[in-house]
Amino acid sequence: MGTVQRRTAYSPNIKERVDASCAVFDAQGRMLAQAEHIPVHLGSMPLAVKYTKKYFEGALKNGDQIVVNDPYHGGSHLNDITLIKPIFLKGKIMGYAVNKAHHSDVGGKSPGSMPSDSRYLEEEGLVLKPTKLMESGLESKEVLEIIEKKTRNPKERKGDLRAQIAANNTGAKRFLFYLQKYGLAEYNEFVEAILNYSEIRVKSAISIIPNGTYEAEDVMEGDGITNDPVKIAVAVDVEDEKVKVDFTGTARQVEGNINSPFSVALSSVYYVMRCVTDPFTPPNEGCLRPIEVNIPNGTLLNPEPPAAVSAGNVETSQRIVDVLFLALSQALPEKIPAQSQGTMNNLLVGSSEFTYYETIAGGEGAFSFREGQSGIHTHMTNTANTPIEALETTYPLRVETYELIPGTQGEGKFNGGLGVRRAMRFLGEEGTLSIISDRRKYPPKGIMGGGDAKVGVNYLVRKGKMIALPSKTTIPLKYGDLVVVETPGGGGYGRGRQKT
Amino acid sequence: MQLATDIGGTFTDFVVLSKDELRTFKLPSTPKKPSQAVEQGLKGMKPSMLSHGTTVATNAVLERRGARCALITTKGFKDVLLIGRQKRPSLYDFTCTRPKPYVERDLCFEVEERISFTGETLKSLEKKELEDLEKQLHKADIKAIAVSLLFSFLAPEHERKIAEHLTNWPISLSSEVLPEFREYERTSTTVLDAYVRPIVSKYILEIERIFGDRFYIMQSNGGVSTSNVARQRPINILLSGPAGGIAATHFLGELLGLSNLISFDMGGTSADISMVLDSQPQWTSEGEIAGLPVRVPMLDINTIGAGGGSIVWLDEGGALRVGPKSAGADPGPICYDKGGKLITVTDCNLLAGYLGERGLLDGKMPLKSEGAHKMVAELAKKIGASHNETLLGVQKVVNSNMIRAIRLTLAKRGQDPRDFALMAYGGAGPMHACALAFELGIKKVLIPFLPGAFSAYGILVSDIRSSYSKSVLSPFTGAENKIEECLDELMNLARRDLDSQGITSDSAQFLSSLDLRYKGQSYEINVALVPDVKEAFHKKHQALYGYAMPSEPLELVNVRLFSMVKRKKILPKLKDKKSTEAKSTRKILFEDGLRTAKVFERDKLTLNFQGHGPAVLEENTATTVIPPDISFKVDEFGVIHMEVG
Repeated sequence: MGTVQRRTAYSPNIKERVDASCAVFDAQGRMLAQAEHIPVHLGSMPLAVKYTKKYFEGALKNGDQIVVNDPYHGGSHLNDITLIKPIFLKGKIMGYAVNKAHHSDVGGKSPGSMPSDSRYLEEEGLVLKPTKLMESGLESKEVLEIIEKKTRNPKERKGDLRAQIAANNTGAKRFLFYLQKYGLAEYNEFVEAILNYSEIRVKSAISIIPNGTYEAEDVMEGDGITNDPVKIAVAVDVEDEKVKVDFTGTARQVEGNINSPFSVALSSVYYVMRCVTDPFTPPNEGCLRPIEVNIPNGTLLNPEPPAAVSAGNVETSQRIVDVLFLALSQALPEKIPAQSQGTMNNLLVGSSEFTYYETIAGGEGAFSFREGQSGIHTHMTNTANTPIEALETTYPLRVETYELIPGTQGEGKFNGGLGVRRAMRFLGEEGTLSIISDRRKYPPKGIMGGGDAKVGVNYLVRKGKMIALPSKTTIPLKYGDLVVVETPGGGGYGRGRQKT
Repeated sequence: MQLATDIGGTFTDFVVLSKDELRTFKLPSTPKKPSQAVEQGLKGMKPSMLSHGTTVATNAVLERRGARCALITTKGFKDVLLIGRQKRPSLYDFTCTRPKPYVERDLCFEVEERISFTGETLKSLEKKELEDLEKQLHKADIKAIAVSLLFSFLAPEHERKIAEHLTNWPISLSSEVLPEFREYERTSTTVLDAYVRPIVSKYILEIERIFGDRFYIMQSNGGVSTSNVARQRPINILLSGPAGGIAATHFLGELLGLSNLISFDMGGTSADISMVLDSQPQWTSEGEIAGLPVRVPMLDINTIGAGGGSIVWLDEGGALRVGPKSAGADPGPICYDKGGKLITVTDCNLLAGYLGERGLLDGKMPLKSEGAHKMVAELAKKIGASHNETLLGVQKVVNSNMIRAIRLTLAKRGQDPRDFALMAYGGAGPMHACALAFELGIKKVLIPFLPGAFSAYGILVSDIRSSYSKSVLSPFTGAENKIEECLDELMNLARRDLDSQGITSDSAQFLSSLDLRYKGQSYEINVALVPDVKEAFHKKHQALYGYAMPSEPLELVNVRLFSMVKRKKILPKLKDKKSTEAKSTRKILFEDGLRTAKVFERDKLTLNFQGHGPAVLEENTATTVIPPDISFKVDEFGVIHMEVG
């Protein structure tokens, strides 16, 4: 059982880049298996397939591959480009090989395509509605040309896209191999069995959660344009084997870019449910069946075009997780951790010559059974850092400090993890710095009586003078500027003091 | 007389070569003092050479029994190990945490100094710093030191200065252990080298005392080195456990004219999977131990928790699962009758008739089926399947775990299993081999001689190998001089090591290679230094990733040098026993039901014997199962060939 489903596309390139995911879908567009790399891709891949199927109804041919990054068509933010390959056997679509990867630049008003102050989607880069990048096995010159023209390092784009194409080809090949080996009847049996199996596992885990409606809310610290807090509210309704998640009460969509596309909000919900139910259930459509999500249109978590969304994926998604955990902590006080750093600390330095993008780890919230880890990525992201020796060789930057900050943890029966200080000197002539972060005002909270963690801090040292920076900013850099980001710690769990 | 010994978790294997005759025996391992079993086995023998495989370094790391270590880094970076690559090992499982570094945070020290990415000194290391450091180290009561400064692979002077100053402790310098870029991986590797150094050093001296001279020791790279050289660089033996079997697979493949082989070693607790491609074992410089990177070149081996002792269980969704937990040797499977209560693969293999009741080790370890039968009946009831369906189910699950691992091993190098033969060994490998081959579309399965001691045999015949590397990080075009320079430097190191093993460099073969990538990529590909390296790189990139970009500029990352000195290969001289008769028959459960299989004693079969499945070949340390309709043949070396599909 499950032999066919467990094989997914495998490309060492995608694996090495890490900010990427692969999945296989059946002909109906049901996700059969996903390689677990990035939680934020969990909910968006199924949506991308759904939109693409609808968009091309009947017009897909053998050898086609569809490219899409439009957040309003199943994308997450423009940097995440999804490639979808319909898998044909004897003229019929049998399934889809899909993968998604973060591209370091897709054009837009600032290098790295994640301006802190964008107001419209178009300012964040090239928007691709579902489009054929491969037609009957041939690269579409026109589409590639558009991508090359509208992005900052087109060669890199082309290389990464080709790696994605290759990954899908491998996935499709393996899919067909097994389909032919077992035959359609047995394959169909496998599919139903594996989807039902995952559904049963998730349902049985949900049934352990006490019935009830659990509510919570929290805020984002400004939308990149103003510093006004932006509310996220949720009611989680648990009834036997089903969960309804309702975000009614969440703020209207905002002018800045912390709007989170529906797919991203969905991913955050799936992430939390996977953590609190059964993390080892094979990830497929069956896992999603017992979970219903309602988000009113035109709100922060289900915005309407042309709202800007680049920070929704990388920042708001973390807060959605915080709010959901907070709600569920009323039902599962032993299972829910204190808040982790709650931000990804997106740091972009760029010029006309280069784009450097990094997310910086922080403290993990403590648990009822262990302390939080220090200097680690939590919840919706898990991307690797760039080695200092690689970074300095490639970009006009010198890292002066990369260390943990003692004292940033929330204390308790178990302490939270420590935040990180990363200080880098800019050695180029001129450049642009963008920081998109959060938890600079309101700290990650402790739980069950545990203490709060310290907030993060962003600042610049220019000619010996310290200049404080807000949580979201885009500013010009000068030679010799020292950029310092100190990330938040994690909250503590429980009253008392951790024994050492 | 020559002797090889390989220490495993359960048994210490010995292979003795005397007057061209090979024999093997096993003694129980002595985990508290591993050298004890070696001493016992060597009693009364005077071998002219000892070749030894040991997991002493591996176990020190896995069990955290290494030395109390200090780490010295550039100022601002003492948390390099704690932050690592800032990733968590499991996305959704809160119980899973990052492995703790092998140096405590308060034993990480910083020095004021800085080298730039061009190798230029931005801040030099002052003597005062070193004096302060020394005082702190004395207070810290440490037993070994690791030093890893930023960009030391370009300018090792500061690290050397530290070593010259701190002479009271064994010290590992990152510029010597792994002069390659990526500070976290280099530091991790260097720390592990320091961590196991005192323990390995002591162990090697102990074996030298027992044997009376220096000996050959198996390394993670699939070759041996003499014990005096291994002591200098203990990191090289850290993952040497399964390496012997792959060296043996490689050699046997050459002998039989097979260039593509999957090496499949299934023992009591785990299965080790590796491959020989175009007559070359496959190396990686991205190894790991206990979740921590070890970046010295080693054989690329995928180890999974699938062995005879792997435990059968039902998960939350009611699905049948096998492993990775193992019942080990004690209490072991239920059928060992040593108090084991959990069903294992071996129990199911016994009930399915794969194993005979006479048991293991030539009847010295009888197996009892009664208890296992009862437990399987209970399990069958729970999952609503028949007894036989349950047994087949267990086999399917454990086999598909191994199939997935094989597929992954091959996919990583862009290979298709159908282009390979399967070499199956270890106590349990020959039992499962055909089922795997079926599923993978592999046509040929080989069971070598001495399958239960094949790894020890490999240690006896593996060549003397060393590897050297240095990061360059520059555009490939115009780097010719740099490459020359690096190779000269590496060649000097290689000559020095050969010299201290008593080998002249003319008897060695040298292979130079480059790690290259397209500019902007974050991973590199190793390509032999042939006249048209560029072309070779594009081709390999195409084969691995399905595309190439011939017009893009290449970046040179590392220069590598391998040295290899061939050792004499010894084959067992077989006495032809001329038997063609089965000694008995027994019922065996296959997918299409119970079949009566002929049971042969493998050691008595005449050479060039041919037969058909269903059949079982029994020998001292392993059992080979041949399913219905599969033909098999014993070749002139005693290797069993099976044609599948």
